[in-house]
Amino acid sequence: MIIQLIIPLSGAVDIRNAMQIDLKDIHFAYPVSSDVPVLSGLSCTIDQGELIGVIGKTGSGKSTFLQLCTGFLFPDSGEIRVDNTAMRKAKDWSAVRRKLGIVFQFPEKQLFEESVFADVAFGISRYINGKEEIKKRVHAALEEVGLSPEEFAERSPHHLSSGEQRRAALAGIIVLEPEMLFLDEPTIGLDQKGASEVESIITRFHRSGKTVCVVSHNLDFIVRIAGRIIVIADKTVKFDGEKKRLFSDNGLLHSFGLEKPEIVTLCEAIYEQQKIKVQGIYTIGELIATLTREMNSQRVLGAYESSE
Amino acid sequence: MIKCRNLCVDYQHDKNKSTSALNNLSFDIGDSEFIGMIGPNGSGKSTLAFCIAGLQSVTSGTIEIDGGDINKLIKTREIRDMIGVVFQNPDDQLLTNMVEREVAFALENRSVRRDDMVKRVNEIIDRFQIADLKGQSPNQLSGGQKQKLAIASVMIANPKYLILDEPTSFLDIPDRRMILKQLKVEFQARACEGFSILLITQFPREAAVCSRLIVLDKGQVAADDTPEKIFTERQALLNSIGVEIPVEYQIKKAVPGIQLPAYIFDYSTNNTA
Repeated sequence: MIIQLIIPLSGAVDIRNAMQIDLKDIHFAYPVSSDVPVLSGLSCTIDQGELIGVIGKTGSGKSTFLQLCTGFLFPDSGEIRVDNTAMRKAKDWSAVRRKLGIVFQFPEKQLFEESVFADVAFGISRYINGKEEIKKRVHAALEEVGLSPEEFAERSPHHLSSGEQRRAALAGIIVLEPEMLFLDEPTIGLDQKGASEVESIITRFHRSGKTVCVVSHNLDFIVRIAGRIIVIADKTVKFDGEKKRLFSDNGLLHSFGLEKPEIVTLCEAIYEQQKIKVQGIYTIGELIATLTREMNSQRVLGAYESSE
Repeated sequence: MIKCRNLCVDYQHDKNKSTSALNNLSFDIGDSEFIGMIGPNGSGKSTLAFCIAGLQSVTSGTIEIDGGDINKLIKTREIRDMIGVVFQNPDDQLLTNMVEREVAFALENRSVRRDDMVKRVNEIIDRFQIADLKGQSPNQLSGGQKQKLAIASVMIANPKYLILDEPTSFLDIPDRRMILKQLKVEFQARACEGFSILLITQFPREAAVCSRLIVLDKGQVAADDTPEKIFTERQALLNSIGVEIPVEYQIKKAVPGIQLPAYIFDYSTNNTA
């Protein structure tokens, strides 16, 4: 079974576990205001191995979308299929529940055990027997989120910094080894350092062949990590596709009530001012590298011309 | 002027473990100042706001508000009259079931005469451009509108100082812009009376609208200068403590000679260039 040995190492999509969620013509309203639907006629498909950014204005229904995808809310009409099986009632969801990891906004508010270890172990203990196995998995998850087990396992989760708490909460989900990870505003409230730590946890998780669907207001964060973008506006999916197509079209973004990510604004300004081609660059590191190269070649060219 | 001298605040976890939130911190808030304050999570920003607002006592050190020691201002009311506080989450400070009533609340509490109250409420509602929301319940408002209402309800009492603890953390960019613009309006309207604002924020970009910027780290002042100087000259400090440097300053530093249009990201106006 050479293939089984190779696939996990290469980090490619493991077809045995390929998972798909398909939403078709979803309508949903909260019971308190049942005459005002939050989502109406929404359809989209989430495939294995994607890293999807879900964006939209406040109140557009992004969080509702995420909870529908994961079976926390049920649509009023329309159909949700997971791996081609229709999800009609709670029982259908419980069969796939383990493969779905959900990280709500401010997940650290759900930390409640006396030690970080106990908190991370809480979910997995339902599925796995044997103290040693649990310990192994919990320690691996803590390593994965950058909290060394030696230092953090026995500490109270309530005495950690907010960034560490957020990562401990993430470890509690990652330890379950879900196939798909859904996150609602994972960087909200964190400072730069905390946010970039969370960002690298998410990209690492994705690179291991798993699916990630992340809802965020922070478009600079989304544009850095996501390949595919879903825009929710007017109660439905208004855009679904490559990020380049969305962020290179000012009118399109504006029509959804969204602003450009700062990096995009900056790149456009640089192009206007200096005619240096920096469109389609989404990280500050890449922008600096491109500009430095360009400035150097201009300098060389300038020196050459003046010597002539 | 608010004078903070050698402030220390320790949080006691259990018998033998405590964390120091403020560590011998001294600084002043002068009259007619618009001060921004940034720092990583856990640097003591909120603790400092709570201390200045008289919501938390210091372990040691003194805070003087216009010459009076905060611990000797016997009635909290005396502090309340001078200092307005806006918290991160507007739901924490909205109390009534109607926007108009919310704005009037501080005056009602101070037994202001009715005709005077109506006049001041209308003034504030105009200045904050929330006339069309007057009859609505605060619960029906968007996050940005709620925060705007919270600021209006504080400003109606004419505080000498306004302290805001990360007022835009939960808001999206257009709403953050709206709040910043309003703060600038408030400052310009009342700076001549000595009115000062301390804006604690997670977003260094927002602090750029202030005339002075303070960087906190580990409960101490790590830098205190104009935003321009701090973002240009103190990048090593900001990087080491994990505070984001606005992208245009990162580029200017890393690519010498690059020309950028001025004010690409002006947060106090409605639009980017």
